[in-house]
Formats: sequence, structure tokens, C-alpha cells
Amino acid sequence: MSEARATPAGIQHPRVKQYLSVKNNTKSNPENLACLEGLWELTIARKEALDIRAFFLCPELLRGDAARTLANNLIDSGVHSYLVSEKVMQRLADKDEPDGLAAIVQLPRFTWADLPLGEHNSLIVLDALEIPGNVGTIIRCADAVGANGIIITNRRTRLSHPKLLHSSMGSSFTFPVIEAQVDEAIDWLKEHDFRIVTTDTDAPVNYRQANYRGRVAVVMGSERYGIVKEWHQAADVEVSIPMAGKIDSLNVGNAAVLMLYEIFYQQQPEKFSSKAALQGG
Amino acid sequence: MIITSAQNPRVKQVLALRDRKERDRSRQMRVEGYEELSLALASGARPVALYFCPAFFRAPDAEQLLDQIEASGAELIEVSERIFEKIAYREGPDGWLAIFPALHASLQALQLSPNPFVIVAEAVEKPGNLGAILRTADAAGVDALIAAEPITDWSNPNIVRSSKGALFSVPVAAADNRQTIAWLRQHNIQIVAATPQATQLYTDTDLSGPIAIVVGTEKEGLSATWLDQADVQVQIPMVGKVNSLNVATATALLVYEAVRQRTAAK
Repeated sequence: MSEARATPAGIQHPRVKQYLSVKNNTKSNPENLACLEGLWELTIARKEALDIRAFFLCPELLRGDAARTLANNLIDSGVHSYLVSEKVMQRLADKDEPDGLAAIVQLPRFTWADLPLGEHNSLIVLDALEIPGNVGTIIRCADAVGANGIIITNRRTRLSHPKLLHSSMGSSFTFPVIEAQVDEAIDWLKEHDFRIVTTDTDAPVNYRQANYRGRVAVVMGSERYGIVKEWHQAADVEVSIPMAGKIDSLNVGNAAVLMLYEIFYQQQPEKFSSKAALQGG
Repeated sequence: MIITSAQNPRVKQVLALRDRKERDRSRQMRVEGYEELSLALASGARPVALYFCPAFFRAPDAEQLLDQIEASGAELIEVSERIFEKIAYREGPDGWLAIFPALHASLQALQLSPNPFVIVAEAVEKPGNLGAILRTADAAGVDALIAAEPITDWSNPNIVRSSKGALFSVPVAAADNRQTIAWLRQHNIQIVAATPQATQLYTDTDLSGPIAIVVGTEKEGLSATWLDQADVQVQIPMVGKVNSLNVATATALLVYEAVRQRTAAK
């Protein structure tokens, strides 16, 4: 075990305090740091070569060989490593049964230049979404269909939120997500020939009957207020997802997923033949 | 009279309903919060009792809702702020907590349309996922959502919350796998199992007839029982680094593909 080379750290240690301030968002975070916990998240972070700023290990809580191997590899690779007690690890972790692994990582920053442009492109605009889990789910699905990126306007939840990171299942480590003002985003989309699509319960066009070939950006509005005026005015197409029930809204995550898959279906029809399925998708 | 004592048996009873055991025993459930309560009422559910604390009210039309609940025959029980904070599940309560009869959850009570369309969720654990599936089920107008080998009960407060009232408008049932499969067979319903191992795509599958879309947990997927019994196995294509979708997400895609086909076939 390489743990002899990790520095013991108590609850007052500056790195431990830093972890808590990043996790709870109590200080400004210009470096885009985020807190990860557990074998699964740390494994993905390492695989995606994220910059791991600090690694916290509680040997008493480790479960299984994979966890021990990961801990050894992290320490051996020269990451700043800290040994913490069970009590301190309980403070760091959100999970009820922490597995003894946690880290501070730097999340990548993306810009407009990270959105590749081609004949067919798809972007999702998330305006004022409030629930981190919804944003994470949409990032995960956008990644699954090979969409080109996500634009967040009127941001209400931070991208380093632990629930967002968890629900994105690691997609948010690598999938381009950029933050912009509404007018800046509209200007960029128009300038690059994107058609702007909004979804609204009252729109006359069924979401499966609109044309999404070429470059499209679909705008999803907040859980509470829906699409704001600026986006409505910028829309080229307004579509609706039919609903039979008494409550008028699908969960915004699910609505976004339906839009993403319809675009995927139209832009990459070859992925929707059973031959593609036989070859593993 | 206002209840101010934590020793009051009514207070103990409403607290006990946080536990599944007591929900199963008393066949009652809690619905907390103004929004959830309004949605439950709008779906036709009738509370047996309301615990309320006006000091916490934030809704402008509180009087109106109180009158409506009283008119429906429910018992109104006012409690002190200290007691309401004790019985409430969430932080920053809004003063509303109603007791409803627990949901009928037997397969036999379900009513099917002429062209049955149901969803089966096997061993889905997270209440948030079940809530999202309920909202999809409501939006798509399915006949029923069945929890097979359920891990939680339908009256779990977190399902009530995340379903945004759909729990009261979508017929639900709970049963083990054997009973569920027998019931589907009895009604000649085709079993469409969602699994990444399938070689057929959901978009290439006829979903316009009597079907049950069956989904499992994202970690384990569907059990061998369902895969063996399936009339057809379907997969959802994916590219990129992600190799699975959240169970509620996958359900929404399959259900909405079925909706498209069923609407087109009409």
C-alpha cells in the first residue's frame, strides 16, 4: 500500500477545508473546481485525464481491490494525497456509506470554439433550469446521441454541483457545456446558421413532424416558467410534445431527451437501422 | 382546538406514516405541500384528514383550499408551528400535510383499454425515477404503471413529490414478477423488454398493438425472467462515450415511440 506516502490531514487541514468550501459553494471558484466522491467518479476522472488537485483517502473505508488499486495509482502518480479519518471522510462525502475515496478536480472550460460545425449540428440550450439533476441527465443524454454541445443561459445551478456531476454519469467531464448571455447565444446561433427550435405545450407543430436536418438548437425552458420571451422571439420553429394527461408537463429532462432522440433520428438515420444494432449500435 | 403536544396520538400517527410498515398497516399515506395536495385533489383523490399550520402558509388562496378540503369531508386539524415542523418531512414546510387513503395497487383492480398499453418497471429503487416515469405515463396516457418486484411502495413520500401529482392520475399496481407476467399473458399483452443486448431497435419494432414496455434498473438491467419471457427485446441506439441511459429517460423514449405509432395507426 502506498498510503505511507499520503499526508495525514484532520478537519482543520487547509485542503480538507477547501474540499468543503468547493462542495458547499461557500467561496468563489474561479478555477472551476469540483468535488468527486467514490470509486466510480474517480475512475472516470482519471480515465478522462482531469487535473486531480487533491486526493483524500480513508483506508478503513475502502472496499474491494479496484478501490485499493486506484488509490495506489493515484498516490504513485504524484497527486497530492491526504489520509483522513473515517470521521473526516463522513464530513467530506454526501453518500450515506462513503467508500473512502474523494478528490478535488478541475473541470474543463469550454468556449464557442469547442462547438464543432458541420453539415448537421445539434445543440441544446438550457435556459434557467433550476434542478442540477435535470441538467446532468440532459448532458448525459446529449453525449449519448452525439450532440455537439449544450449552451446554458440564465444559469441557476452551478456546473460543479455534486448532483449534476453524479446524474451526468461523468459526461460533464468531457462534453462541451458553455455558459452565455441570452443575446450572445442568439447572435452566435444566427451567425452560424442554426435554426432555433423552442418546445411549448401550445405550439401547433408536433415535435416529430418538424425538420431537424442541418444545424439546429433546441431551447428547453425552466421547470417552473418555461420558455422566456427572448427565446420565443428568436425561435424559427415552435414544436410541442403531445400530452394526454391532466398535468401539463413532462419532466424537462425527459422532454429534452425526446427532442435529442428525434434530432438524432433525423440527422443520423444510419444509426437507426437494425444492421447498426447488430453491429453494436 | 389546536394541537400543541407532541404526545398527542394524532401527531404520533402522522409521524408513523413516514414508515412503510405503518402505511401498509393503516392503508393511508401522507401528501405534503400545497402544490402536491392541489394536484392530488385535481386528480380526484379525497383526503381523510388535513394537518395545517396557517403560520407557515405561503399560498395566496389558502382559505379557498381549506374550504374545499373541508367541503370534501376531510377532518381539519390545526397544529402549532413546533408540531408542524416535527411532523413535516421537508425543511421549510408550507403548512400543508394531508392524509389520503393509500393507492389501490392490485393488478386485478386495473382497467385496460381495448388496445392495452402498460409500463412495467422491475425493481426500480429511486423514488425520483419512479416519479419521472409516472409523469411520462400520465403524459402518454398509458393504462397502467406496474412495479414488478417493487423495492419501495407507491405511497413513498418521495414518489408523491417527484411525480407532481401524476401518482394520483395514473393507475398503478405492484406485484411480483410471476404474477405480473401471468396477468400480462392473461390479457394477451406482448412483453417488450428494453435491454442494451437486444439486436432490434425500438424504432423498428411494432409497438402499435397490446404492449407492456418493461424496463429494469440501470445498474442491473432486466432480470433473466423478463428477458426469457419477452416477446421482443429492443435497444435504444447510442453513440459517444455513454453506454446507458437513466431508466426514466429510456422509458420516455420507448413510450413516446409507441405513442407515435399508435397515433399514426388510428
